[in-house]
Amino acid sequence: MSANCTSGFTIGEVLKGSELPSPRLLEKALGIRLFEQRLLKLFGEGRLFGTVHTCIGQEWTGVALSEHLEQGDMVFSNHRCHGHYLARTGNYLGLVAEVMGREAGICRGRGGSQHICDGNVFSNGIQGGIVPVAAGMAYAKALRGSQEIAAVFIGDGTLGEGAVYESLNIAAKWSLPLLVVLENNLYAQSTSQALTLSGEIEARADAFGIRTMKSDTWNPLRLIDTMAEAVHYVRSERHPLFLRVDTYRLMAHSKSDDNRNPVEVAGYWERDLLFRAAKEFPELMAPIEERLLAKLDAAVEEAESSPGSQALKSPQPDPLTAWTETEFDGGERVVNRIYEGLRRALERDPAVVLLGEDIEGPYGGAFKVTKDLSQLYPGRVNNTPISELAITGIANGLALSGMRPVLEIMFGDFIMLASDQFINHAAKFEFMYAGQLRTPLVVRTPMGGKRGYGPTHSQSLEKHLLGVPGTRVIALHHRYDPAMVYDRLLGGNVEVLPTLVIENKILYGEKASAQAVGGFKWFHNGDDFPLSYLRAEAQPDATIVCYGGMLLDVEKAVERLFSEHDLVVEVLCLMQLYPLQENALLPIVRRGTKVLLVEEGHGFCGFTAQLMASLYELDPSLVMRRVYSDPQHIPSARPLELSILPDVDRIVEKTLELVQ
Amino acid sequence: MTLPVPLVFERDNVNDESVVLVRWLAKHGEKVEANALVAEIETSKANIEVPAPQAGYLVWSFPEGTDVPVSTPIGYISAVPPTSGFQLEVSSAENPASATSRQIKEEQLVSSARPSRLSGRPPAEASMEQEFRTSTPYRQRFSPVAARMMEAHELNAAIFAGKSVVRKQDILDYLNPPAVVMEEAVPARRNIGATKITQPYREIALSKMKRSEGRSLAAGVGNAVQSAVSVTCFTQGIRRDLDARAKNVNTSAIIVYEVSRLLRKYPNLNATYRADKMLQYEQVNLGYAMDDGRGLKVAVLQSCDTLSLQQISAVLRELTMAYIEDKLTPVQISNATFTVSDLSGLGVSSFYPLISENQGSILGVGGEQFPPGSTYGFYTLTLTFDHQLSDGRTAALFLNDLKSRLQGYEETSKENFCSQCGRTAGQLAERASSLLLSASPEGYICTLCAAGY
Repeated sequence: MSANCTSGFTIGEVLKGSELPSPRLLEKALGIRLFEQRLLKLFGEGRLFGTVHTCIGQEWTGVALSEHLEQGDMVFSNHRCHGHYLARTGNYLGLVAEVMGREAGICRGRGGSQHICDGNVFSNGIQGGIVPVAAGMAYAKALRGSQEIAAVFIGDGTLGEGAVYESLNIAAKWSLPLLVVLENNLYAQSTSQALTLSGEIEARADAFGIRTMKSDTWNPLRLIDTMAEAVHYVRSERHPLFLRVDTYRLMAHSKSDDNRNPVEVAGYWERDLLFRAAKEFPELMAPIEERLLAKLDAAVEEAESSPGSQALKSPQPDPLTAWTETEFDGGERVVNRIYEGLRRALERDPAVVLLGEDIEGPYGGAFKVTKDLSQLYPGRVNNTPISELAITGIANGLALSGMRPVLEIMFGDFIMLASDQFINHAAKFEFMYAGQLRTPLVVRTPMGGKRGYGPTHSQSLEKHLLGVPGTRVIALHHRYDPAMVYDRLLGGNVEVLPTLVIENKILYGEKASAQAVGGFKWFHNGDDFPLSYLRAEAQPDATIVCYGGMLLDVEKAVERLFSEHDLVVEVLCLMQLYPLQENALLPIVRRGTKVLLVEEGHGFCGFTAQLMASLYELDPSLVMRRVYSDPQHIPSARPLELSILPDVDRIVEKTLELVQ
Repeated sequence: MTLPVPLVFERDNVNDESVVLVRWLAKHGEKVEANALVAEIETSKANIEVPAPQAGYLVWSFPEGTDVPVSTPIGYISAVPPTSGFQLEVSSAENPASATSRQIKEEQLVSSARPSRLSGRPPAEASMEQEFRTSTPYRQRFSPVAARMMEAHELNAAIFAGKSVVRKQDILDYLNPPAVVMEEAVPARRNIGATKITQPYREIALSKMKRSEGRSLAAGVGNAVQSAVSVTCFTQGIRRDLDARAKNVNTSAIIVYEVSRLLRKYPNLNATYRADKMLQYEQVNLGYAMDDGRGLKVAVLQSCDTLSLQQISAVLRELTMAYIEDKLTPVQISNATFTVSDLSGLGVSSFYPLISENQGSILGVGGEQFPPGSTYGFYTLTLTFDHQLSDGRTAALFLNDLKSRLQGYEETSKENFCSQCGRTAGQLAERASSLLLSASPEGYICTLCAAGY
């Protein structure tokens, strides 16, 4: 046995009687164990599908924490979450129904075993990613000045994830009331800790100046006391604490995948208190067990006879065909309009919080968007360390706690570091928690080239985050007031969805106005993030569909196509890229039936590819072509960069090809 | 003879849609020097004076006080004095196109309630339930090509009201409106004569013009059920007499004049057949076929029934000159509703003319034939007509009507006449005018022409 699992006392001492936990506590722990065992049995009988990760052997961590939680405290757990949940809520029925995929389940069968949400206990199957989310929840508590805390459960295997360290760093720096409980069971799935962990566990927290404590599950009463001290510390000091709890998983990682040495496992069974108590104190344990089994039987029976999860309806909103002429007081630069929108949001709603790297004044952001907002609204506009993953996770935690975070990712090229939080957390919370809460996350980031910033600072990567259900992606442009967009997004009259806002670097300096090419006028439709339409009173020869920064070149192309080639080309500029409202586009593109789709990014699986597919599915008679970047990386040298990225010449050329 | 030179002036404000012709500084028909000031106009910025671009006779196109669109010349300098007096309601004979365009513009205003016709698209497009209301109007603009065409055809920008961007194709569509919402009048030309040729031959490509001519005739023939009626007219040599005396009025002009008026009496001959319907034309645009060996062209006198005999003469002269110089513009050869084909010059006695595309009948004029030793001769008028629209009786009535009118000119041809305008003493008496003996031009000149009207 390795040094990490010595407990410092003998089982015999415990079973002398004086250190046995109370029947109430025993019932709690045993209830969890019997529940987990029942699940395994049901699996074996074919009455359950999916997977479970039983916490048999680790029950006391959940029980210990639950003894000290107040109602508003949040707990975020991982795939092995049943014990943490049941200890706090005792809701056997709800959990078994959830695992069974029933409407009566705590998440109506959406989340299943490892994605639960009830009674302020959350879980997600991404173990590293939950840490910054929990930190965000703690941050919300700090911002609100409450006395509540957030706790997160990780395993020793989780120490491989960078998210943990990013979050510990921020939690310590910002003094967040976050309790990190590490259940050290020596294994990550099938891999022993000895093979993956270098250095000492506590040293990791020490490095961030975070207080550490240590305990184990073989002396539950001591664990409960240690937990009390830990919770009290976090609650009163408003500072994180790292609690290591040594323990051992007595059953397989999930159902039957156990490749550990059976002798080792058997040894731990011998040390397990519940196992020993059942053997040594049957007169105490048997009635408890009987009671619990009856409860379980009833729960299982009720769950199995309840209706299965209902099919989901995804309503497709009707495209709003009412068009309005676009009129707004133009003349200010886009960057200032964005500033104005953010400022209005901060003014209007105290729940709005801005996070990002270098956003505080007087520096005011890499592109000077946020300017002096931190000075105007102290404490609500905060610089973060360079931790895209963690700050997105923290923003998620804030969103789940009812705040309205607006996160700036300095360059769109860095968005991939945050993509796990966007795809596996933000996008899924509302769905997998069956609509119990929303995620009003807003991430804004500049994309695009033509500034000579080179291959990793000039890309248009939004396509990689398009099409994730439960999210929204919008791209600003200069022909619809960006301040209005932020008013709407942060104002509360639109559907609450985690939203990625693409701002184009080139557009920052452009004047926002409704000025149109001569002979044309700008209109927009009635959607929340409307479709803009450059229209002429004439039969168009073709229609160009584009978004964001490319609108600049497209407008120039429209002018040239008319004055040099005698062609009338109308433009549809999308603001909402996803979900795509292709039905709104259809009647307009049908006016000319020839459509040119334009994007700045790479064409393979790009947005224009999707557009073409969507439009073709609706109307195969449309003749379409695309303009996109050469399939190369973007060089820094200016003439080279401009030759690779789409430009006016290429748009004009492709339109002529299309029309002739 | 050179074409009249339009009066131009500096456009000092590109946003002006029209200028006001404040007053003329010289009379209509007056001989002016180069650079002499002939008119005063008012732009949005200032009043400016317009000089004559060269020496010649001033021809007014508009009366004083008119708001003249910037694309239309206010007048011309002509090498010869204008033959007609300036008439206030219609622009001068030198400018038949603008009369047409004005009339067409009026039509367009009426039909502007149906914008789908202008754009040439079927009305189904308009049922897209989307409204695009604006608080300010669109700024209208023309592509460079379109702007040049507007000038060449002397069109008014107001024609395209409701179109904010105007291209060449829009102008072409306007000038040659496609058959809107109607089926193709003519079935596709069948490849007749596809049997094998068994003797040697040489393949010669037909010119584009000839092919186009062929297509047009095939279309006309294919659309019509043709039949023809002829009458024989007796003459004492009217043609010879008329053509010999006045340079300005000849038999062609007289025939065109009389036919165009008669077509108002026989509207079924000024029509075309389309899909079980007769489309009766509202205008009488008389096509006059010309061919001096360089190719058959039909020059069109727009709204011919509204032109006086003198105007018709002048237009025919102008069109002939344009044909000879190969400068017939698209406006001058389009929109004919009836055609006159005169082969008398080629010594043809009678012939069977073919109905042209989009028309319903055609008049063929044969040459005079004199039996040897006789002072009386005869010539043939043949009317080919579309039996779907009219019939032999109507055609006969028309021809007889025409014959008797032409007969009327015979009677007057023996009188003295003005060598300038061809009016006889009798006609002049009605206008309180008289004939004066003239050395140059030789013969007689009436007091009206002598005074310069």
